[in-house]
Amino acid sequence: MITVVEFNDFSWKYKASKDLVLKSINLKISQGEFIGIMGPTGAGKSTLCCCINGLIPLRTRGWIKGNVEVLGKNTRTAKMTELGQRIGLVFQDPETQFIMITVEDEIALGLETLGLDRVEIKNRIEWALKLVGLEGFEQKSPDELSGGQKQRVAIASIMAMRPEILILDEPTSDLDPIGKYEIIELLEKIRKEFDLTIILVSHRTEKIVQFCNRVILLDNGEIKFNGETSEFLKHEELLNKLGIYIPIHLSQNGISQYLKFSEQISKGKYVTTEQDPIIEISDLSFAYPNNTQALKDISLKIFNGEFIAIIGKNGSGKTTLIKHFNGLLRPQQGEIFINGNPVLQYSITQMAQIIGFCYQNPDHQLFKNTIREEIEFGLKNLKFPDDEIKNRYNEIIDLLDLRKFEEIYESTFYLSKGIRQRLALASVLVLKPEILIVDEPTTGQDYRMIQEFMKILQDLHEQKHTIIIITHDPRVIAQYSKTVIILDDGNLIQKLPTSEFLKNEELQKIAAYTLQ
Amino acid sequence: MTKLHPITRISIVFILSIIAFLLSNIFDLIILLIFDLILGILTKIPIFSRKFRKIIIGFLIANVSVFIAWCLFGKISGKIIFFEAFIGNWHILITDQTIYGASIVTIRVIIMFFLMLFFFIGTSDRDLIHGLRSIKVPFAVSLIISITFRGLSMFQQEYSIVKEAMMTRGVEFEHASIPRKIYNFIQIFMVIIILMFKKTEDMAASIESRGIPFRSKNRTTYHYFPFQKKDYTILIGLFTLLLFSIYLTLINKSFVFLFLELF
Repeated sequence: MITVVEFNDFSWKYKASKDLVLKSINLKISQGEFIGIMGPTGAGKSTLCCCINGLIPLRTRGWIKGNVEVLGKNTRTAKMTELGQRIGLVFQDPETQFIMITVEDEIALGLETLGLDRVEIKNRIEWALKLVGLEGFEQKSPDELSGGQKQRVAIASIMAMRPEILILDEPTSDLDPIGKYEIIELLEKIRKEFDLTIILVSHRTEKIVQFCNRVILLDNGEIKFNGETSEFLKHEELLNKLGIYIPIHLSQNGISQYLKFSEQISKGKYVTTEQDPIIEISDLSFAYPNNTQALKDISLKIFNGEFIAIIGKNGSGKTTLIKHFNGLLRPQQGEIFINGNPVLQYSITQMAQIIGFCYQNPDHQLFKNTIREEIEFGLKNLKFPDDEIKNRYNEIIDLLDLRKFEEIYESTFYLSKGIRQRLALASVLVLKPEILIVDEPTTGQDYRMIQEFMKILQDLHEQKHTIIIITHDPRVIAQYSKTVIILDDGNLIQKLPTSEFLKNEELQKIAAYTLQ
Repeated sequence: MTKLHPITRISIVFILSIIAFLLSNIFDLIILLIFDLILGILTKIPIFSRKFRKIIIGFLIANVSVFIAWCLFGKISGKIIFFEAFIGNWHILITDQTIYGASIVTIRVIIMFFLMLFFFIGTSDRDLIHGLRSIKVPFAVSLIISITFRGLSMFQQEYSIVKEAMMTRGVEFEHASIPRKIYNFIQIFMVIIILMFKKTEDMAASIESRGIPFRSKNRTTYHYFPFQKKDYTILIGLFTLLLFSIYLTLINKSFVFLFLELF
């Protein structure tokens, strides 16, 4: 086998970081391998990818020891242009990879750099779009694409350049479970067809185990495991220590395990009372200005104390629906009642005290410099008395275990994504809303962070909060939600207990739900 | 207009705007305005549709304010005095020449507004980028323009998300006092600046990671925008008109009067 990547006692430290991010890495990757890179957040996975692509050290400042040879070139002396053209790197956020104004131009950008003629560029654009299932999308602008489609375009624009090594850093984070599966399946197809070397960074053990030949487990900049996928799951103690999810359905009967979880939580401490609905929707329809019919005649009741997961394929109308709950979107047809009153009767300030809303990306929600300012902002804005602000602040900072971070970090800017997400939740919860809505709480987070965050939501639920989450994560749906609401193409398919959903394969198919 | 080369489209806007500045006779300007509107009608751009009606009404209101301001502060002496008053040190003098000068300025602004409107409706950001590349503007320039357009689109998206996120925390935008509104918008921009900073870094990494250099001898161009006969004809016509307007300015004559003298 030809070695395409070789790390020799390689260490790296960013100019701004205190400690080494990669420590004495020795690693060989052969042509045609499908490598899975795993590890908790901050383990050095993305840094390793940038070292292979040459962004480190060619375009990043830092301290370096040892060498990395990729395709026979030492990354210290090679040209970034050459490495970039031969080693494709797909980043986690497809939004920032879209440089041009249409899909066609985006794919053509790299091909023009390769010096190809018009006919060849046209052929490759068509080929790459067919490969990712986006034929006919040539003239679409990024604003017209869903998150999943953008991720496919990012892969297509790299694949069109026919790289020898393809590196993907969490490329499916925004996709629904079936979309995720399709992309990884596609990668496997490409690998076989072109004898391509693929390096995939993912938190999803199921995907890694199913498709990769070899797994590299990183922790704190060191390789903790490097071996055959079949051996990987045997290291249960190590995986548990690093907070790596061990997919139960691969070792035992998965669905029955999840059913057990689901039945346990339905017998939880707090039981929903189906009396007066806290949210009632009747005949709700909504279309966006570009005439996309996002919601179609939805009628629904949500009761006090429910823990609901709203599920469905990408673009099924989940976010549009929840934005109607707190009046961010106004119904074009139909009515919404909160605690029996029309939603539009409430002012913005009143609504903030009834419904708390946590965004997928905490960066959208945090705008103050310190943890204290951030948490107190909502209360001060609503002109709460000073004593009440102080009491609520102390209550929430302890509830979400944020006090230690307040002492360590002067500014919220330096907090990790997981802690920022917790702070965003604190800033919403401090207003003591009856209903808490969380949009995609698990995207891009490692298993341990997901568990910690979901535990907080579970505790809040037991304190009689109504929790509504939007998620694509099959584990979260099965382990935490009592009820699921399934949406498909703007239609409400069904609201039913999670345990029943897990027994119904047809509904799982509609919701793009898979444990694979 | 949409079938013309983007550079021809840009030239129409710029050259006719320069001509509007050069012409100082009201009849010449009215002819140019009529030509401007005919151009708009010929290009079938729906400027009077509901979508653009608000913009046009808003502009016309602003233009009336320009006219009034010119009249109130112009202080140009003339043969006929319509109105004269002193308010403290402020001397208001409205004469026939004030009205004439205000009309000229107003018509010039209207001409340029419609030209810009036709250009922006009829030219996509993509046309502009390809047009620039077709006339061999350096790749780096067209890439920066493309990133700027993408940045604007991202900015717009981020703005609405951050604004919504603030509203969910009880921040009023509609019914707040003006100082409070300004404070709230500053908060939004602070968040967006940080977000855009991160996104810019990621975009730069994305360009670098694909091995796209700013300068490359090998680079080809996928899109082909050839200059057609009609582009050459229009450009020659425009430059002739521009030279003629410069000539009229130099000899201090009006196009209409020169035409009447000849015939």
